[in-house]
This record gives sequence, C-alpha cells and structure tokens, in this order.
Amino acid sequence: MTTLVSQRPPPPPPPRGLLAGFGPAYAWGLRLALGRPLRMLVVLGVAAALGALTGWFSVHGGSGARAGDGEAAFQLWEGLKEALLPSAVPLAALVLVAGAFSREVSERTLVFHLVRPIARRTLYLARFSAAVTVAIPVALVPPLVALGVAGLPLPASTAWALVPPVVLGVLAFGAITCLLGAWFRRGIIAGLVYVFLVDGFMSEASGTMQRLSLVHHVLSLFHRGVDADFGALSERVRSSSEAAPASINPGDLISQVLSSERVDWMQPWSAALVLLAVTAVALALGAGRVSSRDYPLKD
Amino acid sequence: MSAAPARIEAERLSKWYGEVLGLNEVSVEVGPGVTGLLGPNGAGKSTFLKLACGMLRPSLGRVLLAGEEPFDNPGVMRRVGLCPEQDAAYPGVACRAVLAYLTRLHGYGRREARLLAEAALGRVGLGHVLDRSVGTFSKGMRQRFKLAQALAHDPDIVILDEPLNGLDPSARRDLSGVIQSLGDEGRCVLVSSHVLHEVEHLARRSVFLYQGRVLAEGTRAEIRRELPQHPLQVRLLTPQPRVLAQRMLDAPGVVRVSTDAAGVDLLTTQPEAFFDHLQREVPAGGPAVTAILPGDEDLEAVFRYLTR
Repeated sequence: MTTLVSQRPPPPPPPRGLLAGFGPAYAWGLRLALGRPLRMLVVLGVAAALGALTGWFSVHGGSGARAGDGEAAFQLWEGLKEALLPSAVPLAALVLVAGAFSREVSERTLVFHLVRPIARRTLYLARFSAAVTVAIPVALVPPLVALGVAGLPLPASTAWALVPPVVLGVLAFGAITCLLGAWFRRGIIAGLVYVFLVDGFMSEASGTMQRLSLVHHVLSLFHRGVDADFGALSERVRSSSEAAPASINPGDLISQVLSSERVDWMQPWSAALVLLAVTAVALALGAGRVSSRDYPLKD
Repeated sequence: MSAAPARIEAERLSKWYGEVLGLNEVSVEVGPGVTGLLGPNGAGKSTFLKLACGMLRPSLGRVLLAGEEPFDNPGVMRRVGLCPEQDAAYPGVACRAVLAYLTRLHGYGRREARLLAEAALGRVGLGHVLDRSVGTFSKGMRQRFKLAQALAHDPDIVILDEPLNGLDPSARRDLSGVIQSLGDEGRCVLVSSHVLHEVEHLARRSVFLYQGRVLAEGTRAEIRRELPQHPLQVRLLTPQPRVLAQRMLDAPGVVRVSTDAAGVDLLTTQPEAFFDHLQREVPAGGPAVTAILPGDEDLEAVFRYLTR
C-alpha cells in the first residue's frame, strides 16, 4: 500500500464562518440540478409549449383568425394573470426547488456532508440557492415565450416587468416548498397541498385573506408592472384593470376578511417586501430545522 | 491539524429513539491506533457511530471528538473521516467528481481536491474506474469508494461502520491492509463490525457492545481470556458449494459443515487458523469464494455468554 502523506498538498486553513463551504456546495447543487439533461429538456419544452400556446391562442383565438391588437392584448393579459403566472411560478418551485435539500436525505447522500466542515444551514442555503438559480429562468420561459409568440406592439419594458414577479415568486414559493421538504418525509406532497390547496384557496378567497396568498403578491407585481402597457393597446384591459392603490385600515381587518369584495392589488414595494420576508422567514425556519434534527439515514 | 489529540470520548452517552433505548450510558475512550467496536446487530454500534459523527444528538451524556462535541460542529469535522454503513450515490456522476467535490468542502482548491480524490481512489484500488458512477459499482467497489471518501482529506479521526461487509476475500485483505496502515500512522481509527474475527486481526483494542451497553473492552488478549472456545459460524458464498465443503472438512477446528445451492455453512473452534487456511486455499486453485458472511446467531451466543 502506498501512503498519501508524503504526496499531499498542504492542508488548507480551517474553513470558518457561516458561508464556509457555500461555494462548492452551491456549484454541486447546480450540477445536480442541470445534470439530468433529458429532465431539463422536458421541463423547458413543457414551459415553452405552455407559453407558445398561450401566446398563439391570445392572438388567434379558437377560430384561427388573427384578432386585432386590442383584443389580442386583452386575451394575452388574461392568459398571463389567470394561467401562466399562477401556475408557472409555483410549479417551477415545486419541481425544481422542493427537493433541493430533501433529496440529499432521501438518497442518503447527506451522510457524506454531515462529516464535512460545512454547517448544515450552509448546505441547506447552498442547495436552495442553486435550485432557484435554475428554477427562475425556467419559470420565466412561459410568459416570455407567450409575449414573443403573440408579437404584439408592446414596449420592451413589458418583458422586463415580468421579471420581478417571477423572481420573487419563485424565491418565496421555493423557500416554502424547500422548508416543507426539510420538515416532512413526503415534502413534495406537502408542497402540492400548500401550493394548490392552501395558497390556491386563499388567492381565490375574498377580502383580506387574499393578502395571505403568495400568488396575490406575485400578481400585484404583475399588474403594477404591465397593466399600463397592455392598457395602451386595449380598452378592455384599462376597464378591467384592478391596479387601484391599495388601502388597508387596520381597524377594518375583520370586516375586510369577511368581505366578499376582492381587495386591491398591493403596491409593488409592499408586494416585493412581503415575498422577500416570506422567503427569509421560510429559509430561516428550514435552516433551523435541518440544524437541529437527527439524521439517522437508515438504508 | 489542531493541537487537541485525536481521540473519541463518550461519557455516559445515551440515546433513545422514542421509547426504544438505542444506547445506554456508554462511557469509552478511543485513542490512536485501530479500535474495534463489536456487537451483534442491534447492539448499538451504529447508534454510537452516528452520535460520534454528529448525525444524532445525544439524549443524555456527551460524546467528544478531539475535545469538541460533533453535532453540527463543522470545525471539528475537518479532522474526521466516516465510512458509513449505508450506500449512497449521485446517479450518473463519476466517482472522481463526487470525491473531488466532497474534498473541496474541506477548503481545498479545485485542482488539489481532484488530485487528492484520485490518490484516495487509487489507494483503495479504484484508480482504474475514476470516471465511472458509484451507482454502477458492485458492493465491494462501493465499500472501497466509501473508504476513499473517508480518507481523501487526510483525517486523523477515522470512523468505519462495517467497512468489510459483503466483500470478497481479496477485497477484505486489501481494505484490511489500508485500515491497519491508518492505525500504524497514528490515527484514531474506530471500526465497527459484527464479525468478531474480522476486527480481532485489525484492532489493537476492542469495545464490545450488547443491548446498548458496553459489555467488555480492552486488548485482544484481555477479552480473549473472558471467552471460552466458542465455535464461530461462517457462511462462504461460492458457485461450487460441494467442492468447497470437501476442501473445508480438514480445515483447522471445523466441527460442522453443511451446504446449499449458494454456499457452505460451517462451524470452527479455531477461527484464526481457519481463516489463515482459507486465505491459502482460495488462491491455490480451490473453488472461488465470492463472499464471507458471519453467522450472527453464534456471535450473539458469545455475547450471551459474556452477559451471564
């Protein structure tokens, strides 16, 4: 047997701080996320197809004849807010982020990490960061493809305005689904329940309960960002736009919750703040959970 | 490495799984050299090792690695290498890439980590399959990979959970040599096994666990004095059970031999001489032995004797 001792490079200085090991763990997370090309191709293909169908139908409708710009703009606007954003953002989070850490547990590869000089919370944050790095571009594909296929005379800023709701939405939904994955044995199922039952129910609820829904905040950013552009093409968008200033009177909270009226869209900064706060709290809870629990990792 | 000596210390270490007691007030000290952690299945060996590696948090008492508690303590983990019992793999990723990544977590640069990974894989005999995925490895190759990832970063505390399980005789000999050399280099090496004979050859000292408690500990000679000549049950897997059984009839200490379609079961009262005989017999044109498996029931009988 040969001995390694004489041939070794000098040992590195001891890793220190919360982010020690983050770089390699992040890079490895990216490699794992992108390492299955067929899976990524399928995900991207489905995302692009959804976007293309939405864009095509908004312009051509059921008849196949091209609609006017005004009607096409209204249909595309409807398609984006009713179908693409509320589904693409949480689905990208569920498919690409929910298992970012929990897969290390279910496949028992976590055992190799627990005896390395990397804090559990750092590993958790690195895997989450890598997963959202992949999920955000994927979630941007459907709305951007829809815009491109529709080919409406919208300014370039319309496409840019789609970025904040998608980025912040994927971060918030991703942090929650990743947390559920770290908490429950069947985290994906818990994530599905959260996304489609809990958040879906709240986003369709009336009154202030809507504000508990992440989709509501994603759509607030959408409306505040693009309604003016679509409204310039379509009178129907202008008349149905719900982009009125938000007003909450704390004294009326109960009556607002019980109200059957839909609440106004949030101001962009407050919607962004809520989504970022949800992301931060969910990440802190997830990192705390993985830092404190036992991992027997049995075969 | 820091100045704190490489050792594992447990003080009244206990672990409950709900209402089941996995480990009961275990106090041991493991220093430089190879120490065996022995016991039948369910004795608490894996629980002890998982506590020592920081995978589990003690219910009571404490465990220290180089003077520090290991649970979520990255600082002490740069000194630790673990060969886990469970198989784990990243599907479709080359073993060199996996090991280079794990080594990078110790602070090595990309190139250094790759070199260390290659050296460690070469040391355990996987130098010819650097670009193969661990998922495509045989059981023996996976064991070698797990040992390589435990050693690549040059730890001075090495914890090996059943490292020789399921290996063929040649692989056992190779990996036993690697483990022994780690102890000779002055590292603190703790090897768990439910095969008494396996660890007898490797370990300077042994700790016997049974039903979550320490039953006996000490050097081989000290513990041997506590044991009678108790027959050891061994199962040899081979494609030619009858031929192998015939050749084993005159092996030292063999008192019973039986065969089935997959292998040979035998009892020997002289384990050391028997295994020496087996090592000579297999390469000398005898029938191939694909695996040596322990007979748990008899080992448990040995432990029952110790508990009397």
